[in-house]
Amino acid sequence: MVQLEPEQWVDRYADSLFGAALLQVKDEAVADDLVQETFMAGLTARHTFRGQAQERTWLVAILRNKINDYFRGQTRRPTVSLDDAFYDGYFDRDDDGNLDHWLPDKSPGDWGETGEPDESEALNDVLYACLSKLPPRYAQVITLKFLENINPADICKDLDISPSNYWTLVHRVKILLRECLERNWYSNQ
Amino acid sequence: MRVLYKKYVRLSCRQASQLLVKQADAPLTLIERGQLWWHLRLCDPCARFSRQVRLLDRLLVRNVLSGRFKSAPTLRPERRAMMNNEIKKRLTT
Repeated sequence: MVQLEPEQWVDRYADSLFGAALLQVKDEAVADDLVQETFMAGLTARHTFRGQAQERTWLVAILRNKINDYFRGQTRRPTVSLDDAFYDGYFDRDDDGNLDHWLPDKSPGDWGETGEPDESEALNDVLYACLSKLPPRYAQVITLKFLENINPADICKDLDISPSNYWTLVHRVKILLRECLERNWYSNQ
Repeated sequence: MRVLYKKYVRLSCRQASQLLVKQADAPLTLIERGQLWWHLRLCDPCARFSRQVRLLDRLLVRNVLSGRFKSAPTLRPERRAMMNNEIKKRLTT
């Protein structure tokens, strides 16, 4: 049985929840408020906590709801067009007009394969900068997937998207992040 | 022959890179795996994409899950104090 320990919440989780919220909402004041609201909602609901989930997982679920509420309340909800315009920036088209090969200047370059990922803090900084540059919708998918380790089916439910849209979003995020790492890290090595 | 090859065997780089990304989370069909294997033998850019995206995933899992991004902004101290106070207040009432 896991017990909730609200007096420890700020020390244990405030920064990581804040970081997750910030990547998605892009505004420190909003992220601040979302974390505070999460803790307050957690206190109010603490009698419903049955101890099956980890404390952090339970708070993350509350934060996910808060972030969804926040986006629902926005006049312009974050959306991305899922048409092929994005891919036209990366792939050429064959004779039949279908997307085909990598465009020469977008083609994945040689990173001088080192095997293990570089551990350096500078690389982490570059990756973080790349993550924070992602548009909200992409940032939401990647934060839920990696930061919160939410399974794809639940991410689809959260974002109200179909599985095929989910795969398209993940594909695009990986293309964007890979390109960003290549530009800002591997080409400067 | 060519038409059949294009329709049933050949993947575009767009399709190949999409399958590579999907593969990290969900099993591909036998046919998809075969198509992808064949594409990667012939296409250096996609082979690099495959290695680089795997590396990206490892970096993400390693850093994001453990909250190791040192450059990520953190809560301001006065805001932390405020939250701590709010929580204590609620706990005592």
